[in-house]
Amino acid sequence: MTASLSIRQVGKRFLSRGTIVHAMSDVNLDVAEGEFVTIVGPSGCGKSTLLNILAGLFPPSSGQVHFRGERTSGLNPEIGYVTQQDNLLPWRTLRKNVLLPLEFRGVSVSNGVAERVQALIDKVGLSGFENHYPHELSGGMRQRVNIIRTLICDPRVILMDEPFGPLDAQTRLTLQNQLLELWREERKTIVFITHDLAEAITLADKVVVMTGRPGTIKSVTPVTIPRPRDVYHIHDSQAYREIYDKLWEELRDEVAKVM
Amino acid sequence: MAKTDEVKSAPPEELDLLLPPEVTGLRLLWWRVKNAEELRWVRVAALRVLFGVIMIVLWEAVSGRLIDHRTISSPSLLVASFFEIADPANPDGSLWVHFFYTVENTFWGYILGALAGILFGFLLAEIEVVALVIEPFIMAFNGVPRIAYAPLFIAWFGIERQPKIILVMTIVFFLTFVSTFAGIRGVSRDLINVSRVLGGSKLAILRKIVIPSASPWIFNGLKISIPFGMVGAIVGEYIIADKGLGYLLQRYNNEYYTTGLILIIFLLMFLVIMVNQVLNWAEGRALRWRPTSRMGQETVIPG
Ligand SMILES: Nc1ncnc2c1ncn2[C@@H]1O[C@H](COP(=O)(O)OP(=O)(O)OP(=O)(O)O)[C@@H](O)[C@H]1O
Ligand SMILES: [Mg+2]
Repeated sequence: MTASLSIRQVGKRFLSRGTIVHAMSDVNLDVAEGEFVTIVGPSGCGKSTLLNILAGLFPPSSGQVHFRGERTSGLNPEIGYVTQQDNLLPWRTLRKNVLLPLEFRGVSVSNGVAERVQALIDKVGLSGFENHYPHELSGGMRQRVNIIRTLICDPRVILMDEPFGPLDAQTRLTLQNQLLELWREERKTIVFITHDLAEAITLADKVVVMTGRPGTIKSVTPVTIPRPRDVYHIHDSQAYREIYDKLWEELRDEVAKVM
Repeated sequence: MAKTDEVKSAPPEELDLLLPPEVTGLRLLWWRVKNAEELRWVRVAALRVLFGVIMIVLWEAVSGRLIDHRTISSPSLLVASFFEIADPANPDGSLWVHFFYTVENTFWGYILGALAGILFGFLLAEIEVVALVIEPFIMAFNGVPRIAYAPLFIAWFGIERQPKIILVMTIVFFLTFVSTFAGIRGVSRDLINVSRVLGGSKLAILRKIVIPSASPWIFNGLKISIPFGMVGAIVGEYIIADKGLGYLLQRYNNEYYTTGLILIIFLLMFLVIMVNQVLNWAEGRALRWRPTSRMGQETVIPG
């Protein structure tokens, strides 16, 4: 398998009110083409910082990132980023929010494009809400819009920062299911941050555990539970329990250090 | 924000089901009017008119009986003197001459001030250092009651239109500048970063993200500027002029002509309400997406 993203010795320091915050250091990670990687770690360990670097919003203080073998610098249209807040434009309707990246790229909305937009909206169960404004949608619906807005540009890699964080358990499971389906159909490379270990295991090919600040990688655990997975019942399986217990132990140590 | 469930106004047949069957005829009609969602607006308007009429009747009743009409005038006196002053043959110049003089000065001051304010707001919000440096100066200049500048402007620009227009301009400039500036500084960093990731160029982000984000603040600045701008024009005329509503106020004041003073006040109210109405309409169109109602956002008239 070719590496889609390879992260080498990446570190990040911030200058914040005259003091240097060492957010992250010596992060090494390979993400294969089409792989679904989830990252867990204590709060403030630099997970979002890592995604910001991968998205090209700012460069690392040390180390480097390669995308398909080439060193990255700056924003990359092949990489989509679903942020923790949905960041929809409140003055645009659902459909026009999804169209925003196409407008940015100068894609004219021909019949084909309009159909693709509609197909995505239908697929995540938002049909009938195309002309609603974000404040007229629920949190789960907004997060779905946020996701398909990224998908519409068809990036190879999708970075997701706790996209289901603020949602209730029911909605989370539904969205996890939809995400797995989308991933199976489109075979994107996904790097997904979550604070929910169950979610991390359910979705991932491998789960990355990060240490407390300065964040670095503590372990990488492959999840061999066969696909397609049943997000509603996976928690009952023996294989799931074993991985969960192992990861929980690792994570608990890190969280304990931070507290 | 709580999501309001989609409340459809119930059709009359369904509404009627809520009523005891013995309600019929006029009472039924009244009940329908009272409860029909489509008539909400009409009901409010009707009550407002009613309130206004009661105030006028009370005023008329009290004036000359409980309180001397030279002190509080009266609606009928106002109407009579309106026709007298508004008469084109009026030797002091018809009311309309004064009215349009003030309106024109306010208009030009407002347009120029608002354009400059919005433009500078955009420019300075983009340049961090400049913003930091000039902030205290702006606050200082803006903090002084504008009337204090009026004599200076008159000394510099004469007693014709110019000092009045410039006074209005400075007032409107600062209000729109400050609100535009705040609006642009307040644009979410996250929103901009996300747009960059989604492929937005600087110009596209300005057009599609920054301007719409800032527009509620800009509109707000434009709205609060109207009455304050008018104060500028009136104060300028009050100090020295031979025309304008401010000049009339000053003259009537000297003549203890209460009816005239109140007449001018009503004219100013009318003016502010009309302009506000136009801006509300424009705002409503531009900011259709906003979840909040427009209630309680009417412009206040500064003292
Ligand atoms: N722009 C910045 N300027 C200064 N410090 C920053 C900046 N961004 C992040 N940090 C610091 O870097 C550290 C890591 O932040 P980051 O947001 O990556 O954590 P996180 O792992 O995503 O946490 P959480 O799980 O709570 O979202 C934090 O201590 C934070 O204060
Ligand atoms: Mg984070």
